[in-house]
Amino acid sequence: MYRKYRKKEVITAVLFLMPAAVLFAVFKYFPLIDNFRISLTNWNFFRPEKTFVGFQNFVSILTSEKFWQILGNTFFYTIWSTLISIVIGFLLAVSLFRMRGHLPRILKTLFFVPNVTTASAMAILWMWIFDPDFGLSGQLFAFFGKESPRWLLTPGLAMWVVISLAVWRSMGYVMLIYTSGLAAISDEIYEAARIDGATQTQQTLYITIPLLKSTSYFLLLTMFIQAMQVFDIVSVMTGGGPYDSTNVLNLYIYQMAFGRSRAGYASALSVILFLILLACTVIQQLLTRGKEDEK
Amino acid sequence: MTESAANNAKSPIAVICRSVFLIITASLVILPFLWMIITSLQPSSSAVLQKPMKLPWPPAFQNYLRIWEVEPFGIYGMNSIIVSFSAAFLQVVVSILAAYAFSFLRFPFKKVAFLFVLAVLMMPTQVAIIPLYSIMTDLGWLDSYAGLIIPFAADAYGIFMIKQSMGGVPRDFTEAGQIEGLGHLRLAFQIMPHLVKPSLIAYIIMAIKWRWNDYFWVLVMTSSIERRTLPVGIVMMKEVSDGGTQWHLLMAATLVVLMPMLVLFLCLQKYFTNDYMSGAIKG
Repeated sequence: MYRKYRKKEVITAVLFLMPAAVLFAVFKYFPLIDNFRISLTNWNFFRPEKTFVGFQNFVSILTSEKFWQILGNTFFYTIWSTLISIVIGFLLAVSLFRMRGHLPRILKTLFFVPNVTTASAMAILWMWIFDPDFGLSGQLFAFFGKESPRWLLTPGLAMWVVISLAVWRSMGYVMLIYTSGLAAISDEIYEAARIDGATQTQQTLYITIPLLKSTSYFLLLTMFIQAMQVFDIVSVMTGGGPYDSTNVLNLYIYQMAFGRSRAGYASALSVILFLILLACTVIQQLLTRGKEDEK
Repeated sequence: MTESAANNAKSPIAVICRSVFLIITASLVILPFLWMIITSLQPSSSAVLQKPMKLPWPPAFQNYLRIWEVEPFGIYGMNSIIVSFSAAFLQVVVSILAAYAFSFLRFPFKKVAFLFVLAVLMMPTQVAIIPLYSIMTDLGWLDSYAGLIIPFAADAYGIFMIKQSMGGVPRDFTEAGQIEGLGHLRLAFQIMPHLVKPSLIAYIIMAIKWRWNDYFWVLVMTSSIERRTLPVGIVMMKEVSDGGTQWHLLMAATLVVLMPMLVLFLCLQKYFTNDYMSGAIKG
């Protein structure tokens, strides 16, 4: 501290930070803390008093088969939608990177368009595409003289329909992030590799992918955290069905809270979701810190 | 572009693989939109429920007028505009104030205060929806514009992003401004926006997009048609018609919901992509 703070400046700072501070306190920090308290009660929104029940909610969640099924679904959705988006987005970025002229620019715009669509509206369109009777799927299968699978009513298939929409919406975003990562790699490295006789595939495998490692970490974790919170597309397309085969944590919380008014139980579920997200963030921090140390 | 890139691209198998992959992916992006448009131009329900479905000729453009009568899309659209623009406006004001304080003012506990802002990034609304719902009830904000806008008036990402770009503005600049008698408020709102323009515009677009596309919060916090926004309205339209979905009208409505963001994106493309790039570099 080489000089004392000026009083006027400090007052200005406090005034400038006040709106954000108040809003975060009321709509972020307080609810988060209050959520822990509610998770220890059997509140149902209506009964005015919240009876303390200890960890009863957590015990009944962790011993219910349904919870583990839903947690499994959430991870299934998260892992597959993240991985597939990243692979397709990466391939798009690499394919377009070395092309010249207007075409790559037009294609980049095209591939990014799905990312600005409204999820709930797209979910309705997806239902119509996968409609087995008269939707696109029904029409295509009929054209080949076959019966379309009932996509959204078949437990093994419904989740893949949901994942397909998630991938469709996010691959353009991945492409864009990788494109900016690729732009940072110097041409000289490829030049040297080419002189040494490396094929294009070898260059991609041994130069591009390793050099994009930090971009991949960033994408993997941010998309993972996002996907863990999926709600819109599942809620609209399947409502969690059939037989909870597409039900995910956030939707389950919503159903418990606003469908069955079990506020305490739903709070406990959101505490669990929060802890999972927190763990992901901590891992992300550790990984990025680890990387900085290497340098 | 160097010589090597040109040479590499000439390997015929690679070119074929790449082209096939790009053509397939491009088709998969276009196909859903095409299917939506074809359906939306069918003259009637019975024309939709046919195998094979015929191309709609003459196209029934009147569907795009009828949806405004079938469902209160005028109200939904108005609400979407009111909510997303007011929330984005407040977010920008609050973020500029906070970002300015973090960038140019000296005050105690600055680092800690900033950590508290960053921590908010890990608190999506979903993880505390139950207490939030009861706060909204206590404030009497259920089913109101205030309830749809105010909780989003401060955005940690906005503060973070605008602070990052203000970081590039030399400190001398604000000090010079003060010597000329400009107050911090005028510096923050009249001078700074010019200096951080690209990222500010990128942020505004992103903020509008987030609110515009939001489904969860509106679903939980509204109960009447008067306050619903388009993303919830379109789902309601599907649900009330259960069993006898009028797909041609529903698809016309879907396109209407998607259109504003698509137009905004195509017009302001460079800003859309900008924000993601800076996001990646930060990450």
